[in-house]
Amino acid sequence: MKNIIKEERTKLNMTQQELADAISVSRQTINSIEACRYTPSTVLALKISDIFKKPVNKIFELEKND
Amino acid sequence: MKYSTKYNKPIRLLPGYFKWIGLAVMILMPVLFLVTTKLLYPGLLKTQSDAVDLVATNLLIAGLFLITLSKDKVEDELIMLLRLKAMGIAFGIAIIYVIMDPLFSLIWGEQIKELNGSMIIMNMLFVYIVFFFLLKKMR
Repeated sequence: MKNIIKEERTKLNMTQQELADAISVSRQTINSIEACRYTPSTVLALKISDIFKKPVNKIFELEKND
Repeated sequence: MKYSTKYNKPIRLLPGYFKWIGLAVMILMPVLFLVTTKLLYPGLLKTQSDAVDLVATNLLIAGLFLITLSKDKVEDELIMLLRLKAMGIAFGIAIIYVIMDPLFSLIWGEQIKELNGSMIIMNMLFVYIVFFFLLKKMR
């Protein structure tokens, strides 16, 4: 699954730590999500979409092998 | 709207400082126990060596268990997944150990002895802690 969290975060001028604090996870979790090493749960995905004010399916995109 | 809660409740863990309590139980308590036994009941170490070993081993297990159950700095869903993975690895290694130990005894020509449950549990807890730490570093 691809995501545009890094781009959206940069637009808002937010650090990984700030985003992590906003959704109550660790900075390493944000880093893992951005690097596509970890796919977040629905709850976390909704929290991220709420921060970026964008629908979840605009932030996360399924790939062929998903 | 229905709320999903039953399986989403986070696992209850001990506060983070229990890591240090666990370390103290694991390292200091067996030493204190052995020293006080040697000072107060010097004969006990020779006559009841099995019981003394048992108490020291159980203290080690209790310490490792406290470390295992203590919370991380930020206990999020990725950490929970890493806990599960580390537990799976520890369980898998314990199974391999149980199966392979008699085979190795046969290969080396030693007598096959029954496996000690405390030893297996101690190994599992130790492997869990090591792999949890490694997985956290690699996340």
